[in-house]
Amino acid sequence: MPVALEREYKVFKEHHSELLAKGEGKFALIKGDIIVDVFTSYEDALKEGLKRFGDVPFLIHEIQREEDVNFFYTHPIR
Amino acid sequence: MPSFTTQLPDLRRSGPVCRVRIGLSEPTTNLFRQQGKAIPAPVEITALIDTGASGTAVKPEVIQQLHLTPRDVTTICTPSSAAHPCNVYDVSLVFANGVGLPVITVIEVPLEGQVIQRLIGRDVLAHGILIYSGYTNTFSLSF
Repeated sequence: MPVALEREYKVFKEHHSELLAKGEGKFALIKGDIIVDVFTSYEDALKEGLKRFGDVPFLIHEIQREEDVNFFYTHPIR
Repeated sequence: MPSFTTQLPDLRRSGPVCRVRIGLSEPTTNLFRQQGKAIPAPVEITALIDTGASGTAVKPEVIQQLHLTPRDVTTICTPSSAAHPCNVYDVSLVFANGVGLPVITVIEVPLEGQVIQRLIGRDVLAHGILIYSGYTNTFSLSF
């Protein structure tokens, strides 16, 4: 399964320290190589991204000290 | 607080499964309306409410049906796979009786060979109350 937004995610990782200084738990909005801003909620970042760019790929990533890993323990029924 | 209760023939065997409607998130729907673009009809799918899942996952087919645009990348771990990156999308989610959330994120995960098209994880449960009543084969969800 191809992963999108590799360029934006690379920018996030490169600027992680400065983004962390802007507020852990906030959401960074990144398009291409540009960090647009950070937002208090995912929804606010989404609205701003849609307003600026329309419905095209852009990254909204939560700023955390350590990256989140999502665990799926369950094998659902077949 | 709006809620719904579902009774199943064998809750232990099936788990808390229910039908849900997944569609564009409210902000994306509003943008499409402003632009006069056609809004894809919500897709009704079978979901398992899974307290073992930290996030909410959907099959790639659902993402394709709704023509969703990626918004994030996250790492997932499953019992059968090492940590790997997956795409994240914004959607709306509506349960029975219209109970739902206008904006949530979902992770694209191939739930291969499974009837279940979606796992409702603890990110959704964080907004509400889940009551699992094993001896009556019912569960309730409130937001």
